[in-house]
Amino acid sequence: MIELRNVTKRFGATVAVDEVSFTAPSGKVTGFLGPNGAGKTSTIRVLLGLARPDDGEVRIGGVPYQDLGSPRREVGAVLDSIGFHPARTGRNHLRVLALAAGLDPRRVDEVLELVDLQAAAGRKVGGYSLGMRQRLALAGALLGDPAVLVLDEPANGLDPAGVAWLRQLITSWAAQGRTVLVSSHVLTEIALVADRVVIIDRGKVVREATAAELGAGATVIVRAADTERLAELALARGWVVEPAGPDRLAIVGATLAEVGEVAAGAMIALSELSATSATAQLENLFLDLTTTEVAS
Amino acid sequence: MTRLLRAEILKLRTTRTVWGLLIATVALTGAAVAGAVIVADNAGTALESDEGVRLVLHVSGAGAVLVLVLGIIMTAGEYRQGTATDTFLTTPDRWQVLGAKLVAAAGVGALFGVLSAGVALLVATHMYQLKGYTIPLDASGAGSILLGAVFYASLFGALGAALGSLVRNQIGAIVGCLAWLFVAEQIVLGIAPSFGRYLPAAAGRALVRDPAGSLLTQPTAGLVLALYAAVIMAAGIYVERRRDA
Repeated sequence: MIELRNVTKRFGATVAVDEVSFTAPSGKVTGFLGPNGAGKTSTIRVLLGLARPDDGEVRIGGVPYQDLGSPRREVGAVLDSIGFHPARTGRNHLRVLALAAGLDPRRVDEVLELVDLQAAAGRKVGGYSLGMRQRLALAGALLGDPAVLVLDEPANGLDPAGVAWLRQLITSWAAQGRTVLVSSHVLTEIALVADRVVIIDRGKVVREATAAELGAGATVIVRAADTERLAELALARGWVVEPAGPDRLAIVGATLAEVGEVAAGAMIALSELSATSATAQLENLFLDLTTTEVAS
Repeated sequence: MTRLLRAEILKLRTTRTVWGLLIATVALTGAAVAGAVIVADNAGTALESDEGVRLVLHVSGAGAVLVLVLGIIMTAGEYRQGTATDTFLTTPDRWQVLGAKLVAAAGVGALFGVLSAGVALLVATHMYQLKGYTIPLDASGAGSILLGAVFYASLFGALGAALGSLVRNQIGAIVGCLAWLFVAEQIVLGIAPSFGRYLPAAAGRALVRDPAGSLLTQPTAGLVLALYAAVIMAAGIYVERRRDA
């Protein structure tokens, strides 16, 4: 679990992080969203002890980062500021990390396999693509098999297949009970996997919600074997129903779970059940943030 | 701490920088000693005299400046390549990180120094033979000069690591050091030699008993250089713990 309380970080007269408080619980993916320059990276650097806060407290599993007994076994981090010596091979980079952290050197090949970088492991990092560097950074984060993962813009440089792979990885980590805090300025990267989102703008938390909360009141898309019957039941519940193409309905006023229950209760087979909800809502909020930024 | 030391050594072994500097040190030392024999002989200095031996062997410290550069790369280089982030994520206590670097730089510097001393001895022996002389190893202070060369390189390595941690800008630190050692300090030494001999370049030359000028004794010079490294490193650690990585 990650806890931040009233974290403030100033750079001269600029307040980069302004009394930010939020919690990233275990077993959940917490999305940390905000436009570029909102203060995400500064917040994360304070969290990891790389920058000193001017005020406030950060806790990872109950203790500040500096007091963790073996930081790499407890927290794995991917940050944009993590660099590599261009003349060192990917494998040697990880060997250095493992040695300094007192980790089993066999972990090096295990994480290389996990991020699918074995083939390039013997090559110098200077010749890596951006995506390969990002995978190497991820490998470094996973080296100590940590219970907490902090990923700052981890999808940068990854191709669409890489982003999909990353999303799958993030989901499986959280499913293992790990804490995942993942930041992004690109909405759709995160909205698909986050259980909770914290939105930050100009150093302040402007919204903190679960995906379900964001989903309430949004549009549910359902593809059913018997759309007529389902539409009747939905209307009976007072929901707004509209056809959305052949054997598809768009339902407003219900959650995914509610629509699923109604269909199950009437024994109607569903072949699709999705919500544009979280994404749509977040997009609106994001749009607002970006618009004000442009206006100011 | 052992772990961090070993990690520092592995960092060095896994890039080519250290090997390049090692080759350069060997080449530089060999060439400097050979040159010194020829120059001393041409100038009419008796090669077998104490002064002759000092003139020839004090250049065994020529590679110390390359060790200084290596020390700077070990600390400031982490900021240049961005590996400092991972280093501090692994070991949040910056005192430990910089302490390990200081010890590693001094240790690697000593190895460079041993190699330099060996090359200097080898080349000097051959050059003396070529000129028809035998180098008087026992009678002169040859041993203390070569030992001084080991300390010279080791202490300059520590000094470089300390400077790099304070300055963080690798290129700036290297250029600044070279300008200081070869220009600024020479001017100070020329104007006020009694003060100037306590400065790093003069103290380094004193360690290898450079016959030019009135320099410090070897033990004093060693202490002075160790003090520089300790003070600068303490400042580096103090600043590092208050500064964002």
